[in-house]
Amino acid sequence: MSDKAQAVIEVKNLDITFKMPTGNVHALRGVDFTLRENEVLALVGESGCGKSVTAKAIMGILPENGMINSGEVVFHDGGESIDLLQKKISWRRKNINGSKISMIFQDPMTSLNPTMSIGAQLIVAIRNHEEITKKEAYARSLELLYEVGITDPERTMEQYPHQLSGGMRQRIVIAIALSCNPKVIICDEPTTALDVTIQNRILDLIQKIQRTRGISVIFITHNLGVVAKIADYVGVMYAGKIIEVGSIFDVFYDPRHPYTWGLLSAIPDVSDEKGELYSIPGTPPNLAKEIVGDAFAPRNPFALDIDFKAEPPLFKASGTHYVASWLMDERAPKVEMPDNLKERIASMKKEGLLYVEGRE
Amino acid sequence: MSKAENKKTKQVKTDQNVLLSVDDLCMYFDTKGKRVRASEHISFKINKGETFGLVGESGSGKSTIGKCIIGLNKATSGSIKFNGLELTGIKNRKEYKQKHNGIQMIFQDPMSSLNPKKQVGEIVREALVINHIGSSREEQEKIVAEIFTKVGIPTEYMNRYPKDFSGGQRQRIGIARALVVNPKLIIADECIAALDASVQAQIVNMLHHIKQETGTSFLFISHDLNMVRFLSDRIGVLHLGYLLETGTSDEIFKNPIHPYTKSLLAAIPRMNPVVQPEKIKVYDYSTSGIDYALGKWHDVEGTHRVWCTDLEYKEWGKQE
Repeated sequence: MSDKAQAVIEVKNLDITFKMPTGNVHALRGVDFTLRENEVLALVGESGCGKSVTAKAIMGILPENGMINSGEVVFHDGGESIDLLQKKISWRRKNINGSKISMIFQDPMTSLNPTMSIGAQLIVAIRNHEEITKKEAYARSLELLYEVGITDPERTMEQYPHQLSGGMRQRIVIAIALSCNPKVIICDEPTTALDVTIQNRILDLIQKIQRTRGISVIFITHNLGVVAKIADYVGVMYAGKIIEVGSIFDVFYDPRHPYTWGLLSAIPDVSDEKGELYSIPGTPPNLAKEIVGDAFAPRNPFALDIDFKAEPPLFKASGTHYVASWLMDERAPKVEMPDNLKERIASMKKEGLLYVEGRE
Repeated sequence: MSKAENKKTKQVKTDQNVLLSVDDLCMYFDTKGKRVRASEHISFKINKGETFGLVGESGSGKSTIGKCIIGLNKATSGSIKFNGLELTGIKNRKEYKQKHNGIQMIFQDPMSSLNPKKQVGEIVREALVINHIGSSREEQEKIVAEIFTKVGIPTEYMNRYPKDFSGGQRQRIGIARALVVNPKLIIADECIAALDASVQAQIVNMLHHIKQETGTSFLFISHDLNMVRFLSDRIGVLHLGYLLETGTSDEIFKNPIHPYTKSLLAAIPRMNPVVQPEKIKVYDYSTSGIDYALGKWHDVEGTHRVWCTDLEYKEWGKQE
């Protein structure tokens, strides 16, 4: 099967501006990526880099001041290819949102209706998209709750959101997202509000559902540990662009962009020895101002002259690995990643080998 | 010198080293007919120049302890000693000011903890005014300028407002406000949770430097286990209001004894795509058969202590 045939969602050159009282904020500056069948793509980056805006554009739920300047979001569904951005919001709500692409948000308390019982919310979600009786919908709800690991579904159906813990609520949200058999689920920081033990269980659940149902997932997070656990592919975003994209192994074992280097070494891992944390100097750029050249250049210790003048294109590092940095140009000087990151990756690989051997 | 005397002097020495000691602290909130037990029998010590990390899931009572120390919560029972002075049962403002002098707090959300109507220089200077530091306005402004340089904010930004700064910069200002009065203890309640990874690293490095430079002690409250391990000398693990295990970072991370600590550590997402926590044995208090209320402290080695019953301690020791 070719790459094209497998693609579920293709985002092409997506460019979005927010109109603010103080001026325009250029939130997305040409985002390109492809989500393929049965694959988890993680979008990772710091706040304001455009992760959530990308998700909202795909869902058609941008706030009113969000203007789409250009770009396409092509959804491939059984031989049909639809550019979602060309369709009316009402059409997308009826035909796509919830039934083909559904979304899980960060805070389960705000995505659930506090005045409706869990059962009522599930049944409404199902009956909104399918014409079935309440009884059938009730039976389906029980199955869904069971699938998301709720041991006493009958009782949970009667309960209200405030009676449940954060982890349970997120399970309910996942059950609702699954209720109409979507092809794609977009998860926007679904575990950020949860504790580590609960986070781990929710990630296990999302992974299990993704594998058994064979759906595709866009997973938005700022936590690289979560990315390492769940993703097949990773897109690293910075200032409204994807600056490095590749398989999980490309990005974690062979990162090429200096920003990715910074991100990977800024977070301490359990296996690390104490010392100074590597930190990227400065702060992300203000997107209300026009950006000339590489947006990361002012924070980049390896920046070249051209970084301040022209925007780097996506260079191909390997079959699956693309990097937007002038350092990838063949004329650029050879720059190696910082030593502490090199050591870290080496020990990561070593630990990985031991781990795999230990399991075999 | 006899042996007993020798022991006594040693005892005094270690006591002098202790900056804060929390002893059998209980904090209950009485709401309509229902008592919420937020903290139960909490005991720990923070030495001078030491960082103590409190970890636990949300609702485990991390912030309650911090608030009890600073006096925002009135402890139900138990004692909190800071610099040898008892902080519980304070009757009036004067006594509060006198005894709490030297404790400062950094909050999670710098936007809501900085007055949006005041210039940031003024916000920091206010701390000096309240604590009667510096004789004139000029002198105070000089001290503020010094502290701004220390936390990495250009002094020409002193007359800007909180809204003009990024999250990381605001947190630096919050830290500057806490530092400006030369505190002995800083309570940092989730102070990096709202920041991005690259900025988090900057703030953590800065806190690390401040600690080494000024010898300030920190109570670092966080749910981020990696950061707690990175920043803390000693760690306390909280669950359901009980402090279950304390010890140095290495003691806790390399040799966890309590099943809750074990499950917590096993659940940390690793930065390695190959090595991941898979099916960890999920710790469920209600089915574990452990009753925290029956526990008492057991010394493992060094400063490493576990809160459990004698029987549990024996059992967990066997599994090692």
